Amino acid sequence: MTLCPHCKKPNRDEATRCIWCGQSMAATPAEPPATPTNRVQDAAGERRPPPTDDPLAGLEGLLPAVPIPPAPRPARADGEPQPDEREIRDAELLRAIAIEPPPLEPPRPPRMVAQPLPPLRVRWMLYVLVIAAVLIPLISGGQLDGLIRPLPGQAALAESLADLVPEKPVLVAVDYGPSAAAELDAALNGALVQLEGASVQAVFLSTRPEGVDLARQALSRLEEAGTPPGAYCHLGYLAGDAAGLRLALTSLSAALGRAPEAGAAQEACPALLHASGIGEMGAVLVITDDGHVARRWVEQVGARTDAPLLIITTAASEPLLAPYAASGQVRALVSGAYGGLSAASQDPRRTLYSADGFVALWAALAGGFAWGLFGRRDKTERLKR
Amino acid sequence: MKRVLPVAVALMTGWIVLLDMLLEPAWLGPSARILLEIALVLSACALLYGTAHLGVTHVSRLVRHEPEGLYGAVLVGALLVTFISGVAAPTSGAMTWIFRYLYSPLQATLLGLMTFVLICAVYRVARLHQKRALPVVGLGLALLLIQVLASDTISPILPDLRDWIMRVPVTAGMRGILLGIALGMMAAGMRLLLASDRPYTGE
Repeated sequence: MTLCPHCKKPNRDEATRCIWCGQSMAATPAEPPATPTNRVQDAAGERRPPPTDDPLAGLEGLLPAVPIPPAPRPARADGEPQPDEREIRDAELLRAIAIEPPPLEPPRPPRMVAQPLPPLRVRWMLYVLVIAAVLIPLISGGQLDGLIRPLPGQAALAESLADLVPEKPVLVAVDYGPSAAAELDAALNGALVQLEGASVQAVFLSTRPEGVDLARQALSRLEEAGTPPGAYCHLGYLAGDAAGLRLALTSLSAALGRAPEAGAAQEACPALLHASGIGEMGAVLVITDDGHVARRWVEQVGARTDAPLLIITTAASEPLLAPYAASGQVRALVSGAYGGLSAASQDPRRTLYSADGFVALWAALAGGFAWGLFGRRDKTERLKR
Repeated sequence: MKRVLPVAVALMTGWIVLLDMLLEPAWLGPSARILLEIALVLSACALLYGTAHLGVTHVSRLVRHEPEGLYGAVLVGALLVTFISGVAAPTSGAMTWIFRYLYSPLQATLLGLMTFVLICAVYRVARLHQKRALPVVGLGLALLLIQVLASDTISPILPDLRDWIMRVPVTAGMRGILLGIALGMMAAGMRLLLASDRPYTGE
């Protein structure tokens, strides 16, 4: 048993380090560091008394005697040194940098656009343009409809509908909301008129709940036009989105929850005698204002049936579906905003949904733009005066 | 078991429907059809559940006398009237009246306001002299005019110009979006089919 030279606690004899304090067992307690006094004394080979508190003790004669200057600042009563003005100034600056937020730039005065006011006649032309926006449909009286040229999609839609045979019904999916009705109804009506002319039965359904009543409205319009009731039927709402379409592809009765053996669906819809699923239809006509709904029809139905897929959609959704039309997955793509104009122009009732209305809208937009562009200058000039 | 069973059901369902769609084996058809019918029923139930949850949420706001609880009362009242009318007599005149004289005008009015919003927007753009926006507005107005009056009567170039704009620059941008959607859906589907994502277990 050996005692640690540092903590004086017992350790084993062979231990090299203390298990209590971790110090080396061989080492002796550290001696105070050697002072210059000791080094000088050792070099001289003499033994001197232990060093005192004065660090310069024993150095007499080695260095010239230089008087020690007094303390630069008087100490406070508690012994702390008193800061001078420069230190106080630096401390204040440091505190300001660390704490205070940077000063904001003074607000710049608004830059006035000093441009010449347009002549009075130009301003009156703008005013007349805006007023004419409202009056154009009345002034034109449908004269601008002659400028409408059918788009390629409209021609493809007409060709596809013309190729249909009466034995195969056409599925008409009404998948838009009332907000898009003004844009899409005209194109839908035109297609339905063409279907009636070809004696092709139409089967309506909707994968969006709000489309159900719009389909009913379309059917009521057909009734008013004198279409016989057996030429169309309405299957209602098809739930399940992609899964519903996938199921309806082979069996409409299963997808709509009607037992085919009971014959309910066939009785309500004679067209289903010829086609039990969407895949057996002569064509699929989708009217939608949602590009993703149309994409679902393309992926779930168009890719798995030979029936041509025809889509009438809004101008906003048309660019999203244009690649499908370019690749042939969609036989005909008609944008309702422009595509319905030719159908609307054949309607004896004049509405804003016509070439006149489009020009009126353009005039209103351009007038608002010009008014905003020049109106401010006008105000600026008045303020200057 | 609590974790394994949902994963097993999800994987089995996904792979059966996918294989049936891609390969169309005759022996897999009935199974896929049953699964699709189950999905249909579940989606209809989810719609009902969502409607019920909406009603409960607004009724609870009304009970707590929250400041905007009155709107909730209107919503719940309209919901009840429409729901009862739809369930009791789906093809009745009441449903048609609600849709034709309430729903359609409201939604059409909201979209009709877009014209005024557009006019205000172009007015503000011009008033603020936002130079970067001016070409966009000018190009939009030009395209709108070309779209309507793209007739051979005015100029034979206009129809071709309109077709080119719609076919090349606009379609190019949308094709990029479509490719992005397709790749994202493919990646999400693969993660579900490989059980990397398990949203049904909350992971």
